[in-house]
This record gives sequence, C-alpha cells and structure tokens, in this order.
Amino acid sequence: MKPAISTMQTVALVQSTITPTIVLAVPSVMVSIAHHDAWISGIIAAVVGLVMALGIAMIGKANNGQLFVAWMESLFGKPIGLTIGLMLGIYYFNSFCVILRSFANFVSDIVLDATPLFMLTSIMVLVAAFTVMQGIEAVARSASMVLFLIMVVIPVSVFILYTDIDFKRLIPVFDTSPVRMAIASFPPIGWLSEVSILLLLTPYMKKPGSVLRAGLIGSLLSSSQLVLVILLGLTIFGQQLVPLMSYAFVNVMAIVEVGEFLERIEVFTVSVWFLTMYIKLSVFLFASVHCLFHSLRLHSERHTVIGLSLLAIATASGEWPRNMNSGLMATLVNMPVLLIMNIALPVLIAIGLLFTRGRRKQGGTQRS
Amino acid sequence: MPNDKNATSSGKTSSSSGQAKQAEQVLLPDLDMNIERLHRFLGGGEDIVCRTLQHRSFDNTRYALMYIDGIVDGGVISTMLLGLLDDANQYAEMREDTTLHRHLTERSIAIGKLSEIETVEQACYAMLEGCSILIVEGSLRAIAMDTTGGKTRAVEEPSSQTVIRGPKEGFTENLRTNTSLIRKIIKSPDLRFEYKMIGRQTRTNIAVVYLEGIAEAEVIKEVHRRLDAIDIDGVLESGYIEEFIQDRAFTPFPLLQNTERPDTASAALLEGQVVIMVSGTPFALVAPVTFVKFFQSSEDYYQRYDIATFLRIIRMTSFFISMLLPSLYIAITTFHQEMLPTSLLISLAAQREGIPFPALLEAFLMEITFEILREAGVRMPRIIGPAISIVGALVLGQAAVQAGIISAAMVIVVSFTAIASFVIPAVNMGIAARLIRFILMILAGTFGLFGIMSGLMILLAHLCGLRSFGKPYMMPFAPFVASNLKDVLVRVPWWAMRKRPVKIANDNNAIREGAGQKPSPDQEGA
Repeated sequence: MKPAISTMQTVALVQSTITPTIVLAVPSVMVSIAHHDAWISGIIAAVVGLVMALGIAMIGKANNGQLFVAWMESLFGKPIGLTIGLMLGIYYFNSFCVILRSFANFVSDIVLDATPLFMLTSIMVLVAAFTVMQGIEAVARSASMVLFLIMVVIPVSVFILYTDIDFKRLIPVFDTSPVRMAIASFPPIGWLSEVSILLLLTPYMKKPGSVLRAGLIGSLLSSSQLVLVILLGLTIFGQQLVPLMSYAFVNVMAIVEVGEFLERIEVFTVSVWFLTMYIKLSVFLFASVHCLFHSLRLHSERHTVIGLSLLAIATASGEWPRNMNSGLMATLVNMPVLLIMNIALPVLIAIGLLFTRGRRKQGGTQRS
Repeated sequence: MPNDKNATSSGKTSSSSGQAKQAEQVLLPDLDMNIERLHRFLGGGEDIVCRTLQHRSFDNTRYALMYIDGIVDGGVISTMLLGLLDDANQYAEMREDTTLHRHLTERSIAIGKLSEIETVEQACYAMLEGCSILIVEGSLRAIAMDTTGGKTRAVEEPSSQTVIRGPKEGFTENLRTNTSLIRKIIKSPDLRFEYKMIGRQTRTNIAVVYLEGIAEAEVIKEVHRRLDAIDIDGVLESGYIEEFIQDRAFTPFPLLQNTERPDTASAALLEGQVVIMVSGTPFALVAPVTFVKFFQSSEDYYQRYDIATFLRIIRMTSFFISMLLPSLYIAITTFHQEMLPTSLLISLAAQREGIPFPALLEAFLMEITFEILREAGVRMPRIIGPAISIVGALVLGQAAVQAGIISAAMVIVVSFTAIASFVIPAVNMGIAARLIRFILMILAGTFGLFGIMSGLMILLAHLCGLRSFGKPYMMPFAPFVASNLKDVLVRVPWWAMRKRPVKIANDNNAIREGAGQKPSPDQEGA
C-alpha cells in the first residue's frame, strides 16, 4: 500500500522541518543585526519564504505521482536523475548530522551537561530511526499531533507572559536601516528554504494538487513562530539583552512565575520543542534514506536506515571535537549549502522542466 | 446446533482425511457395529450413554439413542426418551414406503433442530457438541438432535466492566447464550452471525457478528481471512484468537477491544464494528478499534453528556498519570530541581535525606512491591484479600518510610499512580500503561525530562504507525477526522451525533438518527 498523507499532515511536516531550528538560535542573531526592528526582518523572511514555498509547490505540481528520484530520472535521464538523488541524499544526511549535533549541544547546554555527547546523539538517532521505520505516514501523523500540541502551547505561553510584555520596547519602528533589516532576514530565509522537502513529500500526498496550500501554510506557520519569538524576546527583554542569549525562546519561558506554584516552566516548553526537533530529525533522516535508497537501488530500506543512523552517530559525535566547530558548521558553512540545495537546485530543476516541457507534451500526445 | 451447515471448519482439520478413509467411516446397516465404532472413536468412557429400543410398528426394528452425559440437557433427553418409548410401544399400520428412520424424523422426535449424519466421525463430533444421535438398524444415516445443555453459568453482572447505570447482564461461557443476548438487544434482520470452528482438538465455536450494510465489507472479509488462517490445536479463550488476528505482533497496546457486556458489543455493532465471540469465554472481541475507544465506558452513553465528558477527561488524565507520574517525579527530583517551588523542594529534600537509594531505585522498589501486591491480591483466596491490603498498605508502606528506606513522597506517588491505573476502563490499556511506566522510569532516571520526551516520541510514532484491521489507531486525531471528534474526549448529546464514526462504519450508511431532534420548548404551548 502506498502511504498517503493528508494536506494537514503535509503542513505539519513542513512546519516541523523548519520551525525547531529557526526558533532556536536565529532570533538572537536577527536582533543583534536589526535590533528592535528584527521582527520586521522576520516578516521580510516570511514573505520570501512564501515565495520559495510557491516556487517549490509549482515544481512539485509537475510531478505526476512518481517518487522524486524516479521522477528526476524520467525527466532528465538516468545519470542526471541519479546525480540529483545522490546529491540530495548526501545533503540531507549532512544536514541531519549538523542538526543532530546542534540538538545534542542544546540539550547538553540546557539540562544534561554531564551526560556524554555520544549518549545524547545515540538516543536521538535511535528515536529518529525508530520513527522513520514506522513509515512516512506515521511521521506525518506524529507531526500533526505535535502541531496540535504547539497550537495549544503557544497561546497559553503568550497568555502567561502577557504581564511581562512591554510593546514600548518596539518603538520607534523602522529605526534600523533597510539594509540591516534585509541582512537580518537572511538567516531565517536559509532555514525557510527547507520547504523544498515538499519535492520529496508530494508523491506521498493524498491530494498532490494541494501541495501549494500545504507549502504556503507550513512556511507561514514557521515564520509566524519566528516572528512571535522575536517579538516576545524584544518586548520582554529589550534589544540589548536578546543578542546575549543563546536560546531566546528558552529564556523567555524561564521568567514565567504564576503565583507561587508555577515557575521555571521553560523545561516544559523545551520538552515540547524536543518533540518538534525529533520530527525534524525524522524528516531529514527519512529524506536522506529515501534519496540514497532509490538512487543506489538498494534492497532493504530498514538496513539503509540502520546504516545511516550508525554513521550519523559517529559523524555527529566525532566530526566536531568542540561545540564551537559544530556551531560554525551550522551557521557559516551550512547556510550556503542550504541555499544551494534548497533554492539553486530547485531553480535548475524548474529550468529543466521548462526545457523538457515540449518533449513531455510530444510524448503525451504520442501516447494518447 | 453449532455444527450446522454454515459452520466452516478451519480447513486444515477434518478435510485432511482422504476419500478412502471417509469410506471406512460411513455408517453401516449393522446397528451393533455402528455403536461399537462410535464407542471406539470416542475412546469409551462411562459418560457415553447408549439406550437401545425396539419399535413395534416396524417389526421390532432396533434403534439406539446415544449421547454424552453431562453436556446434554437432561430434561430434554428425558422428555424425548419418554416420547420415543411411547411411540415404540404403540402399534400402528405403516405405509410400505415409510422407514423407521423417516417415521422417527417426521413423527416421533420432539426436538426442533435435527440434522442427518452419514459418517461415524460426523456422529462423534455432533455428540461432542452436545447433540444426541439416533441410529436405526439397517439405515445408512443417523439423526443428530440438538440437545446441547449441561451445567452453564447463569447470566450475571459482568465482573470486569461494572456500571452504576445501565444493563447488568454480562456474557457467559456459552456461545448460544451470548448470541441470544445480542439478538435480544438488536432485533434487526440485518444482524449476521457467521460461525467458524477453530482448534484441531478443542473445535471451539467462533461467531463473527456484524450488521449487514453498517459494517464495512472489507473489514468483514479481513476478519474472516485472518480467522481462517489460524491453525492451532486449541482455543480456550478469545485471547488466543486476539494474538493471531491483531495487525502487529510487537506492541504493548491492545489492537482489539474485549468486552463482557452485551450492550457494549451491540453499541460496537451499531457503529459498524465487527464482534468476534468465542465459545467458552465471556469476553467478546471487537474490531476495528481506535486508541480512544479504550477510554470510553458504556455508561458514558447512559449518563448525561456533560458528566460523561468530564469522566472521559479524568480517565485520559489518569492514563497519563499512571504512565508518567513516577518518571516525572524521578526526573524532577534528580535533574530539574529548579522547577519545584522552594518550599516544596526543601520539604522533599528533607524527606529524602537519609534515604540510601537514588530516586530511580526507590521508585523501582516501590513499583515492583506494588505489582507483587497486586498480583498476590488477584491470586490469593478472596478471604485473605483484606489481609494482603493491610500488610501492603500499612505494614510495608509505613514501615518502609519509618525505616528510612523509602521517602513518604514516593509512597504518595506510587499510590496515586496505582489508583490512577484503575480508572482506565479497559484493563488491557491499563496493562500497557503499567509496562510503559517502567521504561519511562529508566529513561527519566538516565536522561531526565529529555529521556521522558524521547520515550514519548517513540510512543507517539509507534501509536501513529499502528492499525487495527487497516484502520489508523490514532484516528480521529491522526489522521484528523473532525466529525468523529464528537465522541472522543467530549461526548456530545445524542441528538447531535447524527453520524456513525466515519471511516469505521460503512460510509454509505453513516446516518444513524434523524435531523433536528434537539429538544426545545413547544413554542405554541408556551
């Protein structure tokens, strides 16, 4: 039975692919560049994100239900299709390792500073691999359940933080130069480009025609959460303090104190974030397994998951001896890779689609 | 009679004998030889009763009544025997074309359900089912009469699914009684009972029950396919069947619901589910089923919808408490002390001072002790039950705290967890929570809240990947089915539940009640 995921589940998958990393360290970076206008940079990034989602969805719509690698091979021939599949497979695997290490660093920083990194990466990979082995349908359903949870947590969080919010910290609006605001919008644009995961997900959708809606809503949900975190950080702490924070959204929840019984609830907020991060890890592991499995014509998907998981544990634990190295990889190195693989490659595919359109039409006419 | 024409054996059982063997087993005209062969086939025994008679009207032709004592209805046998003797001793001129076999079938036997039998094997299996056999000298066929009876438990209140308001009848071990209980509730010509026989040695009768047109045809077909695939020597309880037909073998979660309540089974039938009843057990299986079904009680539909909703939320909360409370306690006291208000933290620290074990080991000690007490409570003779409770609660608990082995807070946590686990209406879901609790405790003791969340993520992915007869287990949450949310955590009033659960029942027959039945005061009369 071919898995079938609904439009809402696709929205949840897109949202989970982008949000966990975009709300983690990006707000502090954005505030350090665009100061109290960082939220405007967030909105700029959101608009660009919507344009990217639109582009990816348009490409995805051209797919007539084939799996991504098979589709590429049918469009551009076996060598090019295989190369694209391999490139994406390696990209998703590398990204998986980088995200994994960032996640492990975060957990180590926030709660488990004495636990060996190897143990943390191992348990994270174990959870991601188990989730992937349940199939993309299970990943999508889990993502939708986690999205429900987020939809409950966000309003409650805003409500309990309401007394600490001071909107005066946002004025004067448009005080920062447009260039700085544009520069500040680059980091989130990089993460928002991960909406390109839709290219792999479209063949699994029940209604592939609604890929555009899924992409737009998913991207919008992610950028909304980014803008919300920036706004909460700015209105509660102000533009001087936020850049000093490694994880602004954690600090925001740390100040909550309701009566004398509810305090330091950031651990619970972080716990919900853990779930979204696990979904993200699962999506990336699924994507790398999917691309490599189909490109290399492997026989057992389960063994591919196990093999890549073991390799990911070794890579994430041993590749970067110090946290700083992995941080550098996640920001400076990963950003151009994100843009190349999520924007440049889809643009090339779109150009290829335009060039082969005539040939496909001809083929279609001949078949009919 | 369970062994009637629509009953299908498991295929691999009786059909394996060849034609030659069947020829050897056909009934012979010699009555004594037939009786001897039947005795031999059944291995003799004092409970095999054979009563030989002679009929005056048929030149004193001999015929024999055979049955197994204890599994037949003694009253029916006596009445029948009286009738047979009366008939045998009366003389009347008979038409030439009438045989004794035909005469007995048409005029003499006062039993409603008869069937013809041609082989020794058929005769023996009919007797094992509780039928009586009449064999006539010179005839190549025998008459099987449904005299099933024997000692059976009366219909009583269900022991595991009690309610305050609602029917008090429960299923029994007798399949016919159970089917009649369903028939009494659903008086519909669409109600279908399809019988099977599973178990090479036990030849256990199974009834597949559904409502034609309401249950999905695909699900019914799948139930039959899975049941037909079972090849086992014996089926003693529906649990045997459950493990063979569930969608996934390795899961702590139940993928079929079991019930000993006829009203619950009937409600399932009305919602398009299929009920599988097994002879010899009061527990019927219901399929397909979703996760949320295990938190619903039949009483939810008999009480007002507001209290039903409240109770469902309590049950769901209890499930999470039963699964998570000890692990949360371990995680917070070991890794995240900053989450506790200062006064509580000081109080807990004071209690734990002097306790020689880490929180994880302390919790394990208490949980294992509780599980032992619970198991002992189940196995002990009922009269000793209260004594066990006193020993467990007072002696062990209080003494352990006073001896400084366990903190008082841990006793509270474990006791509350135990009480919460009893709130879950489905015992098998409670068992799942108990098993998962121990794994989460280890994760909490090793990785704190991160470990708990990792465990929960695995659970979530596992639950989202489960199916029950092809239906997603986490429906209506994932996949999201908005119309089914009316009867999940919130139970809306009956007049608002117009549709049967979508994607469970046949979608072509989804409407179950008329529109516009919301009660409102009579405007004209007001």
